[in-house]
Amino acid sequence: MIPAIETRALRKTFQDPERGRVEAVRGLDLQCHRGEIFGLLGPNGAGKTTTLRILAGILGATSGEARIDGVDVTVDSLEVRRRIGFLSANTGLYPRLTARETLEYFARLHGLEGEALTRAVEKVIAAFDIAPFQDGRCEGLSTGQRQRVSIARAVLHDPPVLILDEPTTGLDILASSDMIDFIESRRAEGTCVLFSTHILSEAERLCDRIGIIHQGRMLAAGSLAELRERTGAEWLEEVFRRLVEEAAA
Amino acid sequence: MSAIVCAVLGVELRRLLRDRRALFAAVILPALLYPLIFWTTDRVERSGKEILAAREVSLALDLSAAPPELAQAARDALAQQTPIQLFDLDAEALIAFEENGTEGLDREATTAGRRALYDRLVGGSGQALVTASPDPGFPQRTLLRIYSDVKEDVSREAGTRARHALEELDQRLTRTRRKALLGADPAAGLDPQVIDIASAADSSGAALGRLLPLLAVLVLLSGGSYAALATFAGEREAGTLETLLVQPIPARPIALGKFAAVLVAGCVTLGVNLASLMLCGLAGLGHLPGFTDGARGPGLARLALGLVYLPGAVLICALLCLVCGKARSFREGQQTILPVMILTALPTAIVLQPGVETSLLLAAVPFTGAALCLRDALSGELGWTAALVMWASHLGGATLLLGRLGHLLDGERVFAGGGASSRARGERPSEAHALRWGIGGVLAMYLVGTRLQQWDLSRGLMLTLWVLIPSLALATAWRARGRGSLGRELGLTPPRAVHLLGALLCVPAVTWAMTHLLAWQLEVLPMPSAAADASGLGAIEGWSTPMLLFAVAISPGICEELFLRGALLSSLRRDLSATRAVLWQALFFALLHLSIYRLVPTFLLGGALGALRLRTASILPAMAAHALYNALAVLTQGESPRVGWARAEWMHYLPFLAPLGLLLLALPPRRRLSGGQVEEHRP
Repeated sequence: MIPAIETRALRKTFQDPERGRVEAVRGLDLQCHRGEIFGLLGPNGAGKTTTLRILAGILGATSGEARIDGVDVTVDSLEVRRRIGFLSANTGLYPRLTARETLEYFARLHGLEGEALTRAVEKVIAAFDIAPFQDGRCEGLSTGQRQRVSIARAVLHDPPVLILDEPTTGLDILASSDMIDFIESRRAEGTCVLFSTHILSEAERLCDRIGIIHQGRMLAAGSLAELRERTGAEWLEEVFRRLVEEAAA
Repeated sequence: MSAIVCAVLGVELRRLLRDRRALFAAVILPALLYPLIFWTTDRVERSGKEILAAREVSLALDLSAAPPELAQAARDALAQQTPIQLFDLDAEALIAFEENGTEGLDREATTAGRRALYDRLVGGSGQALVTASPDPGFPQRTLLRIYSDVKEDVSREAGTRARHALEELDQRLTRTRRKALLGADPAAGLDPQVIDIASAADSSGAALGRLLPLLAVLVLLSGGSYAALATFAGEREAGTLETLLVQPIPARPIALGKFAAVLVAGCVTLGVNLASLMLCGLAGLGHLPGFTDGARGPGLARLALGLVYLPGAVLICALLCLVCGKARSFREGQQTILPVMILTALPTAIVLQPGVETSLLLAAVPFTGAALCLRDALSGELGWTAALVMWASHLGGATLLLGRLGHLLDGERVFAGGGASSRARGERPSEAHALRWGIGGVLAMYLVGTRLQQWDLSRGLMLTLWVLIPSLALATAWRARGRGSLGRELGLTPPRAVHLLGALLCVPAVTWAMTHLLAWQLEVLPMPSAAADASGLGAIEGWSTPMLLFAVAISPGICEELFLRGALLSSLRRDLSATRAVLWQALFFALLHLSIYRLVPTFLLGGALGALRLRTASILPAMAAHALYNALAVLTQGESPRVGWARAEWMHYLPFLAPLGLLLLALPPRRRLSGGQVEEHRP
C-alpha cells in the first residue's frame, strides 16, 4: 500500500540573514498511512514546521524525496495541495471577512462553484457548528470560534491527508479538547493526520506513532510502546530526554 | 485562471472596502481634499482682503513738484480709495536721494538709504508715501513714486490703493489728452488685441494638461500605495499568506488578482479626485487652470480622452505591487514608497516643463510617455503613433513587473530563512537612522547650502563642503558606530594599493560614459537657459585652475564621500543588502546635488562609488576616484577645455584602461565589509 505521507532523506537548508546557512531538516525519513495519526514531536526550532511546509508544497526540499499519496511534492505541488488540508500555527484568517465569506473564498480557490460550493460550505458550517457566528467578521470571533473556522476551511474539500502545525497552541482547554476530538474523528474516517506539537500529553493521548525530531534529525519513530522499549523510559518526557541526550553524545 | 483572479480580486476589494483607512485614503480624502483646500484658502483670502479693505490707511503725500491741477486730481483720486486718510509732508530729501544720491551705491546700500529716509520722514504716522517730481526722461511728465513696505499687510494695501487710483487717473488723463489732440480719428492710435483661435476646450485642456499628469501620478501613488501595502505586505505580516499559498492554485493568478485590486483602488482614487477637481473648477473654487475667465473646463469628451493614460496607471500600480510584494512588513513597505514616488513623479515633472515636445522616444520612456500623452490628449494634440508606442512600452513594462510579482509570492522566498528575526518584523534601526540623516542632509543642503552659495559662491561652497557636510557625516556616524571606532564607521581604513590604482584606472571610462549620457540627455531633454544659469557653472569660469581643482574636485571628493560612502553607507549596510544600501546612498547623492538635470548621472556615479567602497572595504579609493572624475570633468570637458592635453590623441585611449582597473578591483580585498562590520578577510 502506498503511504499517505512519505519522506526519504529529506534535507532543507536555507540562508538566514542573521544566522547564515541553516540546516533546518537533515535527512528526514518518515512514513504515515491512512487512518493513522502521526505526531511530530520536538522543541521550537527542531525543523517541524519546515518539514510540514515541504510536505504542503510551500517550500522546496534541498534534497531527498517527499510524497503525498504517491505524488512527489516537487513534481506536482498543485496536485499535492489538492490532496491535503493544511492548518498553520497561525489561524490564517482574514480579519475583515465573515466566517461564511472565508469558507466561500477558499472553496472557490479549490475550484468549487455554484451548488457544489454551497453544499461544501453548508456541510462544514453544520459539522463545526459555525452557523451561530457565520456572518460575524473573523476579527470579532473568539479564539475557539476562529479555530473552528480554520479547521472548516482546511477540510472543505474533504482531503485524504491532514497536516496540522501545532493545532492546539494558544487554545483554551475547551477549544483544545474540541481539536483533539476532531483529530480522532478524522482518524475514524480513514484520514491520515500528521501534526506537529511540543505538548507531550497531547502526543501520548492521540498518536498511533510518534516521531521525535531534534535539530532537523529524526531521532526515533514508532509507537509509544516501541519508544519506551527502545529507551527503557516509562513516560514520553523521559523518552524524549534520553533520545536527545543520546543524540548529543 | 480567470475565476481565481476574480475570486482574489473580489475578496481583496471587500477587505479594502471594510478597511476604514483604505476608504479614507482612496475615496474620502481625494474627494474632500480640493473642496476643503480651495474653500479654506478662498475664505482666508477673501476674509483677509475684506479686513484690509475695511481698514483705514494713512497715506503721506508730497505733490509740491506736480502742476497744481494734476496734484489736485491725484489728491481727489486718492481720496476716493476710502477709508483713507491723506496728509502732506515735505519729502524733498527722499526725492533728492532718488535723483542724485544713488550714484555709486550698490543695490543693498540704495535700499538701506531709501529706507532710512522713509522712516525719518513718515515714521509711524503713515503706511505709504506718494512723492511727485519731474520725470527725468520726459520733463513734461510728472513722475509719481509710491513707497510702501510689501512685507507689512497694511502698508502693502496702502501702496496698492495708491497705485490703482493713480494708474486709473493716468489712463483717464491720457485718453482725454489724446482725444483733445487727435480728435476721434480711429486711425490715430494703436489698439492691439490678442485673439485666441483655440477652441474653449483646447485652451482649457492645454491649461489643465500642464497640471493633471503630475497630479495623476501623485494621486495614483497615494491611493494605490495603501491598497498595495494592505494586499501584499499587510497579508504577509498578518500570516494569512501561508494559508493562501497552500491552496491548489499557482501564485500568478493570486498576484494578478491582488494587482487588479490595487489598480481598481488607484483608478477609483484618481476618478474621485478628478471629479472633485472638476466640480471645484465648475464651482469657481480655487482659480484652477482651464476654469478661469469664465472657461468651463475641457468638457467630458476631452476628459474621456484622458483614458489614454491607463497604461501609465497600470505601470504605476504594477510597480507599487512589486515594491510592496518584496516588503516583509507593512512598515518596510512604507519605507520603500518614497523611492517609487521619486522614480515616477520626478520624470513626469521634468517632461511637463514648457517646451518639451512629445517624441516617439519620450513616449516610450516609462511614466514620461504616459504623462506627455495625457497632456497632449487634454489639449487636443494627441498623436496616435506616440500613443501606440506609449501603450506598447508601458503595458510591456507592466507585464514584466507582473511576471516578477508572481515569483515574489513563492513560499521559498516568503518563508525560508524568515524566522522571527528582527529584520523579518521590519525593525531596522540602522536603516531608519541612515534614512533620517540622508533626508536631513538633503534638506540641510537645500536650506543652508544653497543660501550659503547664493551669498558668496566660493566661500559658501567651502563652508558647505568643509563644515556642513562633514558635520552631517560625523553626526550620522557618531551614533551609528556603537562600540566601533569612528574611523572605521566612516570607512577610513587603508585599502589595498592595487584597489586604489584600479579605481583610478576606471575613472576615464566613467567620465567618457557620463559625457555621452549627458549629451544624450540634453538631446532628449534640453536644459533651459535659466537652469544652466542657476547651476552656477558660469560663475566658476573665472576661477584659477588650482582654486577650481580644490573647490570642485578635491573638496567634494573628500567631504561628500565621508558623508555618503562613509557614514550613510556603513549604517545602511548593517540592515540592508549591498544592492539596496548602494541604491539608497546613490539616491541621496543624486538628491544632494539639487538638480533635476544632473539627477541621473549623479545617481549612477553614486552607485558606482558605493559599489567601490563596499568592494574595497575602504573609502579612500572612492575619494580618489570621485576627485579625479570631477577634475577630468572640469578640466577637459566643454567647448574650450582648460588644459591643452584635453584634446590630445592619447586622451581617447584612456577609457581603455578600465578593463585593467576592473581586473585589479577583482582581486580580493584586505578587509571585507559585511553587515556594517569590517572583518579580517578569510579566503
